[in-house]
Order: sequence, then structure tokens, then C-alpha cells
Amino acid sequence: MRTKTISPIGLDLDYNEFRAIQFDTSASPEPIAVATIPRTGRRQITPSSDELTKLTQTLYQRGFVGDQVALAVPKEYSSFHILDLPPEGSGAPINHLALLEAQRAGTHKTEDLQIGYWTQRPKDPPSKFPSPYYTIACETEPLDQLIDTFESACLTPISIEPIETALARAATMHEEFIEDAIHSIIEIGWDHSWAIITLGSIPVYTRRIDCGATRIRRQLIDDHAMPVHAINNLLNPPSPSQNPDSKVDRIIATILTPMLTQIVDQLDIALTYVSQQHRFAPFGVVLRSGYFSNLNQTAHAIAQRTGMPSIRLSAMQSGELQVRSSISPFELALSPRLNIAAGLALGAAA
Amino acid sequence: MNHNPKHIPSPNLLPQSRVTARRKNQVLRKWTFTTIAMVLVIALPSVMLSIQFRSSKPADSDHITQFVTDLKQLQDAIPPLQRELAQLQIASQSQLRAQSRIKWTTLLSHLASFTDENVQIHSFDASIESSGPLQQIQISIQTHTKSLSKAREFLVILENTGLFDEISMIESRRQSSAKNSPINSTIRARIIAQPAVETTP
Repeated sequence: MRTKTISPIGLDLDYNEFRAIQFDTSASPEPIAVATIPRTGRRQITPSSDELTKLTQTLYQRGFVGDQVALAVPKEYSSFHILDLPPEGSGAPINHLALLEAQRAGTHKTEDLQIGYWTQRPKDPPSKFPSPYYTIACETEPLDQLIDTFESACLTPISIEPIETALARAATMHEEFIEDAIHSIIEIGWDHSWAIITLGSIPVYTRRIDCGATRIRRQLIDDHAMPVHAINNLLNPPSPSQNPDSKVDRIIATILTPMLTQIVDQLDIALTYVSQQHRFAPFGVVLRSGYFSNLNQTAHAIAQRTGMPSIRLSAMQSGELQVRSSISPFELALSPRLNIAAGLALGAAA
Repeated sequence: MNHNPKHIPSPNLLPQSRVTARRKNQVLRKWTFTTIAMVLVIALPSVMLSIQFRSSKPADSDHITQFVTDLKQLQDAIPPLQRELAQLQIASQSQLRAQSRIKWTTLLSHLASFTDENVQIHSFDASIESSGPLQQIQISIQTHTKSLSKAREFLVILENTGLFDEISMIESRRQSSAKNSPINSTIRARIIAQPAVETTP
């Protein structure tokens, strides 16, 4: 009889909602509980006490287990750096050097930063030359506030991981995700989107794009007087639209096109940069994650611009991940938005 | 699936100070738990005994009440017994004193039996002196004898009775210068008596 192992609760938060997922990791990771909890429109990533109460109640009602949560590094207070530092195993204080470099970059208002970094796989034999370190720097104060807030609700953050590595972890569940190829992950978020380029499973570049689902929602309300429930249906479609000629789809296509153009333009820049850095690596796939990743229009825009095939990245419907009958079709449809949370949960469970 | 997700790097930006603080708290919690557990282990038998004592209170209470009553009766009985004991002690002491007393009747009867026309007792004095644990009875006997030899015979007779611890003739003279005048003698004897038994009231 094997022992049941439950992952921490992967918790991804933006201004629109909390997204939570938890896995049974006794064997192949198996989602056992998912939840998306709308927020109150607060323009701070740190939840209010009311939001926390609602969050904890929902987690309890939806069958989440334990109090350990894995959070994402808040993007508002973090920066991404590629640093040339002494190779691993050289004995150099990598963490300290990375901190000094991040402070020198002057991206943040304060020098009180927390540093996380990763590298490509170590070479054999180890290189004597400086190697690139992909570094995330985040201001300590907002991190502390975030941790304090969750601890006040009896939730214990045990890891705070960059979304780059969390998404890469979720992406590796896909069979199309082959090693040593240049892959892209497009994460369309609420306020911002990200183009994350990976070499194999290692994130090597990230690019923030200043547009997200909130822009579409605002346009639908302001310019087209679309009711909120219809917008919610649009944001949470159970499957790709089967009738692209409908009036709603034409409106969405009209609104989405400028945003998708902006996103794929930035994706193309990121891909060009990384492909020049790694000239011999073949192109892999583009994985669509987040809002609108179910829409054919998104896949079409990516294919048209980059010439690369795109796949919807779903934390609960890919690779070896198995889906329990308790997970509803609606929750499955939400799964592209749960990729970060899934990666966080699996990363903290490892 | 191409890659085990465990191979993906997972940098953790959780501040180190938090990690350290949590470890300290964990250690503190373990220490507190251990301390409480030890206290419970030690206190548990006491609590159980206390509970047992409380649960058996009615029967024991009856016993205690009975015991207190008996004790009070016994305590009440002590003063009369003490008084009785004191009286018995006084009586005993009196009896001991009576037993240790010189049997003057016998002594005087003996003395009288040794007298005749040759020996006459003129006076008899006795005084009691306490000297340490002993009582000494000093006896002074003045005799009239016809001759000095009769006086000495009388002394020997007294000595042979064994009634006296010491006996001696301290003076012996004729009443007058006449040749046949009687002899006045003074015999001093001492009887050492055992003290009366000391008792406490």
C-alpha cells in the first residue's frame, strides 16, 4: 500500500481572481482540487482580509488539503536579468554576485532584494568560463507583506517561485515539448501578458507585454455594452468556438486582433533574440496559456506571425496528468488559466 | 511527456529570514510539546490519584468522620485518665515513702527490749538529713548505765541488731565523782535510707 502524497496548494493571483490547484503526487501528478475565486477589483496583488476569508472558505469547500501554499513572485515588484557569472562549482558566491548585479541594474526603488536564479544544465566537464544565470530579483518588502497576509489567514507560503519556471514545469507535461528546442509560452494574463522562451525545459528569456484580458473586458463594456455575464462566458469558454461567424465572435475578433497583434509582435522579438543566442537549436512549439488560449483566433495569430505551431497548454489535460471525475468540464475549460498554479504546486512538491 | 517536471529549476524567493524564523518556531514548538508532555506524564499519576480520591470520597469521608469522633472521644477521655494517673502516682509515691520509712516501732521495741536495770535510755533523738539521693537519719541515744562495760555491751548489742549503718559511742562519763555513780553515755547512730521514688503527677 503506497503512501498518499499531496502537493502544496499552487496559488496564482492577479487583480481579477485567485487560481488554485492541488495534486496527488503519489504517482503521476493527478489534480485533486481546483478553484478560481473572483477578486473584488482591488488594485493590489496582496489580498484584503475579505478576499482572504473568501479564499480560505472556498479552498475548504472545494476539498483542498493542508495549509501550505506555493505562490508566484509578484511581477509588479520583480525583474528578470541574464547575468554572466562564474560557473557553478567554481566556489564563487553566486547568490551575492547576482544580488550585486541586480542592485546595480537599478531597476528597483530599493536595494533590499531577494534573488532567485537558475542556469542551463551543467556541462560535463564543467566550464571554466562565465555562464549565463537567469536571475529574478524581487523587492523584499512586498514579499514580506504577501507572506504576512497569507500567514494571517493561517496559510503558510512555503515557496515563492518565478512564473517562468512554473510555466516551464507545466509545459513539460506536453508530449510535443521536446528537449533542446526553442519553445515559447504565451501567457495572457489579466493586466499583462508574457512571452517566455525556453531552451528545452529551461526558461532563458522572458518579455513582459503591457496588455491583457482586462483591456478586452473594458472595451466590451464601454464600446459594445456587452453584459457582464456574456463577457464572463467569453473569458471562460468551455471549448473553442464552433461558430466563428456569429455576431459575438465577429466583435471579439475585432477587439482581440489589436491585442493579439501586439502580443505576437513581442513574441516574435523574443524568439528572434533567443534564436540568435542559440543558433543551432531548432524551433519547437508555442504553448498558449491564460486567457483566450482556447480561441482559434489566438492560435491563428501566432501561426501567422511566427510560423510555429501552437498548442493550448492545459495543466489538467496534458501528458501524464490524469483527470478525476470530480473535476467538472467547466473547470477543465479553465485549466489554461491554472498553468502557473499547477507549476507552482508541482515545483513545491518536488 | 518528455521531461520529468522535477528536473525543472525551482528557485525559491522566500526570504531566508523567514525560513530561519520558521525553523526556530518549529524547534520551539517541539520543545514546548515535549515539555508539556513531560509535565503531563509526571502530573498524570497525581491527577489520577486525586480523581480516585475524589471518586471514593463518601466511603472515606465516613471513615474520617468516624475516626475524628473516636479521636475526640479519646481526647476527651485523656484528662480524667491524667487526673486518675496523678492520683495513682501520688498514692504510689506515698506508698513508696511509707515503705522506705524507718520502722520506728520496731526500732524502739528493740531498744526497749535491750534495756534493763543496768541499762536505761534517758533520751532518744532522731533527725533526718537529705544528702544527695540518700536520706540519713541521725539518731542520738543517751543512756544511763551502771558501768562503762554495760554501756559498751549495750552498744555492741545495738550494733549486732544490724538496724544501723553506723553506730558509735561519742561520749561516756560518770554522773558524779562517786565511784559507783552511773555512767551517762551518748551513742550516735546513723541509718542510711533509700529515697522515696520520684514520680510525676
